[in-house]
This record gives sequence, C-alpha cells and structure tokens, in this order.
Amino acid sequence: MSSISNYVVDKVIDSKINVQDNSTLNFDIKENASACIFLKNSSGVSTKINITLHENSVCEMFGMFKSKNHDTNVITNVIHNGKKSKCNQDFRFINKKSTSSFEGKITIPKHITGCESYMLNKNILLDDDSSAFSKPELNINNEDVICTHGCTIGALDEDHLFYLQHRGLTYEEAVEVLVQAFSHKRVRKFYT
Amino acid sequence: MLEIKNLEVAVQDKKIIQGLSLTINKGEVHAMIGPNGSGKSTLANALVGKQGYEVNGVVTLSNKDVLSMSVTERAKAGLFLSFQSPPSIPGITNYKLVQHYSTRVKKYKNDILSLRLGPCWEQRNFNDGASGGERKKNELLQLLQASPKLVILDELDTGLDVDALKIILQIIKERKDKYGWLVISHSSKVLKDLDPTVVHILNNGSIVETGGIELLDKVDKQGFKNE
Repeated sequence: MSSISNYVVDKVIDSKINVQDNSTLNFDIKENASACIFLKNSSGVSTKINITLHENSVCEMFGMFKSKNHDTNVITNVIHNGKKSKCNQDFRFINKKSTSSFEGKITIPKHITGCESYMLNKNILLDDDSSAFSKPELNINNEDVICTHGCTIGALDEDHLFYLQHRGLTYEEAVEVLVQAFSHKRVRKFYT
Repeated sequence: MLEIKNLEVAVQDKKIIQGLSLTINKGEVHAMIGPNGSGKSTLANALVGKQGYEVNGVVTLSNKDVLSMSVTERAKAGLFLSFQSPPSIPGITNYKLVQHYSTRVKKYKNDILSLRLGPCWEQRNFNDGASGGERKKNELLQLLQASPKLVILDELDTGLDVDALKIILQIIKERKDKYGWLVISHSSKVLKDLDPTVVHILNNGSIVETGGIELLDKVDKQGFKNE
C-alpha cells in the first residue's frame, strides 16, 4: 500500500506528521509562506518527501526515525523554485538491529539566487548489527547561495554510558537517556 | 566500611596497581598523593568498575563484595566518584539528569545556590559549554544529590579558582562525618586544607608510606623521592 499526500502551504504552519510506510509527502510552499515540519516514525518506513519552495518561502524539516528490526529509507527532494527561499533539514536515525538510509537532494537552478539550504543527517547505531547510509546530493547552479551538508554516524559515547551508570542508572536507562538527548537537540535555524 | 585487600589492577597485561591494601571507615578522610602516573586515577576508576581494567584482589563495601558488582550496582551500594574530567552530555539538562537518581531533588535549587553555579544552571545542558571549574562544581552538586557511603574525589582542585575551592572545601568539611572519603590529588596544599585523617603516598602502584598530615610537609620539601 502506498499513499501520496499533497500539502499546499500558503501561510505559516507547524505540522507534526507520523510518517506511514510507502508514503510520498509533497509540500508546495507558496511565496512568503513558512512551514515547520516534524516527521517521526518508530517502526521502520520507506518514505519520500518532496519540497517545492517559492520566492521568499521558508521550510524547516526535522525527522526523527527510530527503527528496530526494520529498515528505514528516507528520500528528500528539495527544489528551490523561487529566489531567496530557505530550507533547513535535520534528519536523525536511531538504529537497533536495522539499517537506515537517507538520501537528500537539493536543487537550486541557475536563475534562482539568494537561497539558503542546509542538510544535516545524524545516525546512532545501537549495536554491531546496525548500519547507516547517507547520500547528500547538491545540485547547485549559481554562485549566490549558502548551502551546507553534514553527516555523522556512530555509536553512543562509552564515557557517557559509564558516567550515567556510575550515577546509578542501569545500562538500559543510560541508553534511553542518551537516545533522548540525541533526539531532543533540534535547533531551528530560521525564526519567522 | 571500604576494605581493599591486596588489590591488583592491570591494563593490557601492564600492572598499574600492585598489592594495594586500604581500609576507610565512616568519618575518615584518606588523602592519597603521588606523582603523575603512579596509579591514582586507575585506582579510582577500577573501584567504581570502569571497563578495560583487569582487577584482582578483594574489595568490600559494608561487607558486600564490590568486584562482582556492575557499575550501576556499585553506585547504588554507595560508591561515589567525582570524576577528574567529567563529560558533557548535550541534549539533557542538569535537572533532568539529577531526576533520574536523586533522592533530594527538592533541594537541588538550594544546592546550586550554595555552590554559586549561576541562576539558570538546572536548565542548562549537562556540562555543555561549562568551564573546568563549573564541571567540578557540578560533580560536587551530584554528590549532594546522591547519598553515598564512600566518596572518591579525583583531582578535586583542577580548574577551580580560590573562592570556588573555598566553597567546596567548606561543603566537604560539613559532611566529613557522614561518609568515608578518599581524596586523590597531586597537590599537597588542598589536601592540607582538608585536614585528612590519614595520608598515603602512592608510587608505582602501591602505597609506599602512610602517616599523618606531616607526610604532606615532607612531600612539599623533598618531593616524591623516598630516600
């Protein structure tokens, strides 16, 4: 079962979405509009997110995906279709006996100037059976842009785990605290 | 209360602590001083169960076998270590962390004031962006929240300014009788201010000399050369 959801944003919205498996989410963000989108899922999904940005529009996207025994695939496709449009995407994955893959594409055409686009992908692997793939794809065709992308993949910090256990938390509790800490540090880049 | 008999600690077949024996009772302050690399921090870390050490010997806390316990069990049994370099954990606030184990969360704000840690401390992320001194104060703050039996202070004074040190020494002195103390340092001045019950000199992984506060004067004059 696959589903397609279309959203047309023409004002300022805050949206929380529980991502379904095999879903496509299309966001059309109109001139001067602004969207803050929180996406989450805890059971492993395959999803594609298409964002089209018009002049002066802003999009902030935060994804939090926890998967256990199921793989997660997320593809984002951000197209800057209007000048001075801004986008910030921050996708985080926590994998337990599973694999996550994140493909992020940013397109800025030649005549669309003054854009800002940021992409961050962070992955925590909770055991040796987990892995993460990250593929940034930046298609930028003019010089007047600010664009960044970054990725981290790693296990939980042993020193942190030890510290928390020494304060009396069990190993499982310590992992839980650190996973929460990992997922809570989402910083909005644009205030509108 | 804490009894260490013939403790040996090795890291990758290299012996760091050899044949160390020590008994610490409630209300006693044991100062441990020694040159860099003599095994002071290894002793502290091995006692609280840090991984990567091969530990042999007997360690009991209130007659309970410590070495067979996990890190968590040791903490719950009453071992408390103030870390030499505490980590910072972004994403979790000081207050949230304390809530996980503390028995006196209600007094947390007062404790922050008494340590002069600044008005927003509980809302700040754990040690995130904190100075070395603030981290040490935070360790003391954790001590006030826990109710341990034996407190190990590893290099208490690093990063602390004169005033902060005074505050911390005051707090320790007020609680001297409540716990047993093992205070590790390479500076004799701080140890003197604490007025320790016993002073141990650690060198090459074993206690080479035990005595009163006069040992610290000797170290001041002669250094650690034991001739």
